[in-house]
Amino acid sequence: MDVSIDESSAIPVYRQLVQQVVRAVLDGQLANPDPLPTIRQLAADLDITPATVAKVYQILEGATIIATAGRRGTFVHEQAREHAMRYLRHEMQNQFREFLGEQIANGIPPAELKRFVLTELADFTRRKP
Amino acid sequence: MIQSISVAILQILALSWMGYASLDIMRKQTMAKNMPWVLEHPDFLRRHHRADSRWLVSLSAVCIALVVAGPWVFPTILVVHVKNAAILAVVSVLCVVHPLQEKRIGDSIPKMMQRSASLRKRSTGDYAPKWLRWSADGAFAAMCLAFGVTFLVGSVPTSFALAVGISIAVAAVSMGWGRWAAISEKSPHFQQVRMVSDKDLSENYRRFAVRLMLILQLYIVGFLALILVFQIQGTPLVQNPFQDMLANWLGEANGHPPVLSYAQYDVVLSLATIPLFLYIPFNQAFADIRKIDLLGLVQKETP
Repeated sequence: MDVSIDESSAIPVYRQLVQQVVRAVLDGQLANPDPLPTIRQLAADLDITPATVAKVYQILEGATIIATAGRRGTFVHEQAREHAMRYLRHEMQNQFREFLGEQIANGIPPAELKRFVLTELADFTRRKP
Repeated sequence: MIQSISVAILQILALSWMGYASLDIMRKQTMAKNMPWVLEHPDFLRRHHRADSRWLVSLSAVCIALVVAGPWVFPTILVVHVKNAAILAVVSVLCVVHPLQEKRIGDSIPKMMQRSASLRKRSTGDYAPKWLRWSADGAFAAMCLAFGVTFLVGSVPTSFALAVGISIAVAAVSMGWGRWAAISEKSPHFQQVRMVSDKDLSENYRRFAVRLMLILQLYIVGFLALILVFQIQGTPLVQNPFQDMLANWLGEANGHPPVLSYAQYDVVLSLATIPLFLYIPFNQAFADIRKIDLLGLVQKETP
């Protein structure tokens, strides 16, 4: 499978790559024991610094979605799917907390925030086929 | 001496031809950084579509002049020494000048905003058949073992073992690096030029580079095995100045005279490498990239 980056996006390149690998694991496009390219290879092919790819691998390894087996390289973890789902929930929680924190700091009362979130969620669910 | 000079000139010309083709590949690699941008800037492309070969041509001419004039001016110097020193100096200069030139031009081309790459891990196995990989690595391991054993049982002198040991270490590092670079590094990749050729140019290039490295490994093993066989029989194949220096340093006595003098050995080695240098630019992997006409592309794009 291919990964792509968009440098004009507001999302940092390393997060774009993490998101694509996580999505590929959840979609079943990547599964244990698929090997991943070396840091050098991916960095050269995408024309980004090896440090960026190293950061991506570090995040994915920290979430136990991938595992490094010494000289054999980096592989998709045995329980990558479960861990990818857990990672997504964790990310969602972090982003949601950040959003809530910003709105409360902006002076929006928690009760109004709650009403807003519930209304938006209901609207979204109704619109989604 | 005339024979040595003629072979040295032929070798320099073959190397220059290979160097010229390599400069063309490097320039096209630089341009492939962002082909849409390059095509939108025809003036830039017209200025840089061809690699600057002035350094290569003038330094090759200096090399030939040194090889021809050196032994006449200094009769005690061997042609092989002049040639090797001159080639080493020229290659060192070109290895600094051209990457810097390409970097300067590459830096003026903006990166493409959207880029993609495969998540498939590349390995030697993708580009060379199993039998070639196993025979190259197996032969290399067997050769290391043979040299180790013959040295330990005292069949070869220490100076020989040291000189060959250093050659093996240099070969192992160079071959290993060559293979790694062919697989990991960005090889000429012209995804953007697929409008010209449907072939996957970078994969062709990698296949060629990896196989060349493995064949060179077999060639080096065969050559070192030949040297070892001659040495075990008590008659060294070649009088290697480095080995002589080590023998003097270790206080070893000179044995039998060698089968080939260093000059004769260099002529044989040069004659063996000239066809390779001449062939490489014509190889499909190089030729596919070299036949891309960048100026023709911009003319097609511009009505």
